[in-house]
Amino acid sequence: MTSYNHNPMNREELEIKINDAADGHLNQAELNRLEMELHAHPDLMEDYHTIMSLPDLSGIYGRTESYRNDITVHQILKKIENEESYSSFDVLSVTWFKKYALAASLMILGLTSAFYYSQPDLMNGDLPLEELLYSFDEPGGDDYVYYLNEWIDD
Amino acid sequence: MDSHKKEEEFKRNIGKLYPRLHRAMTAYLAGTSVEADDLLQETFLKAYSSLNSFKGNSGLYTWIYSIARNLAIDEFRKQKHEKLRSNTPVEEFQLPARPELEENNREEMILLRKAIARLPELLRSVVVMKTIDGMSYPEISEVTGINEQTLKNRMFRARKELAGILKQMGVNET
Repeated sequence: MTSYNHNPMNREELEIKINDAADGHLNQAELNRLEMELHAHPDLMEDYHTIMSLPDLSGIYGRTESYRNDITVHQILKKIENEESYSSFDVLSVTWFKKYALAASLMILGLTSAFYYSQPDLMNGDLPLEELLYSFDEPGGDDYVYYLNEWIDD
Repeated sequence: MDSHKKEEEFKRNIGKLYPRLHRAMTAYLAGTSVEADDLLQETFLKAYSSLNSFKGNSGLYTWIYSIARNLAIDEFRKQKHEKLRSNTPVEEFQLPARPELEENNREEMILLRKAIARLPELLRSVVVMKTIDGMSYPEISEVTGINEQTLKNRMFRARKELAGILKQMGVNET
């Protein structure tokens, strides 16, 4: 409930008071005061009467209970459960992996190196790793110099 | 409250919140091509996934209501729905069989529903929240983020416009 001061109200204030009246928030004295003020605004007085005679809209969509739908509620809960299981996989595969991706890569590198150095055959064997990766090519530069010298002598 | 407790409480409340929100959304979406049932499913799922953003400053119902309204507005935009409103078939406003309603009352209710549906979204949403859902102005303010004075002013405009629509429809005022 809003109290009135004694100054005349402007249009906007009157519109809000008309709305308060339609909501049933004004007592009889406040209604009388509003109607007195509205005499100075015939168009608002007309709006006041029109609005006050509007039919009650509160019941036109029936009671809340008639909108109960256990099947839909069950479907919502089921979808939430599915979402939960999806999101736990999501968290595991994306968030956790992202978070620990560097640690995981370092660990894999460390384990591979440890495995390599722990193998005596690979460390002391006939073929070092470089030879496995880059095949040994005999240099042909000496032969080339030899043939060049022969050609000069000739 | 930790997030697990929050989630459990939310799930427990769905059954309680659903009927009221369903009625309000049925009124709000009347005459549109958006289905209240579908919208509500999406609303509760979205609310659940963003439960961390609910700080409890507003009521749970008004928080979920604002999610539903925003989703509906998105849908209206997608479908450019407002332009199609006038093409809505009359059957959308038909009432389910309720023996307690006399034929005259049924007809009047259908006309009232149609009149509300003809209001622009800005006014329709306030009318539905206030008169059909029974929210207080502070609660409507929580949903819309608009101050109470502006809401009351909108409600005045909505009532005035509604009276005009009803007059055009030939509905007798009380």
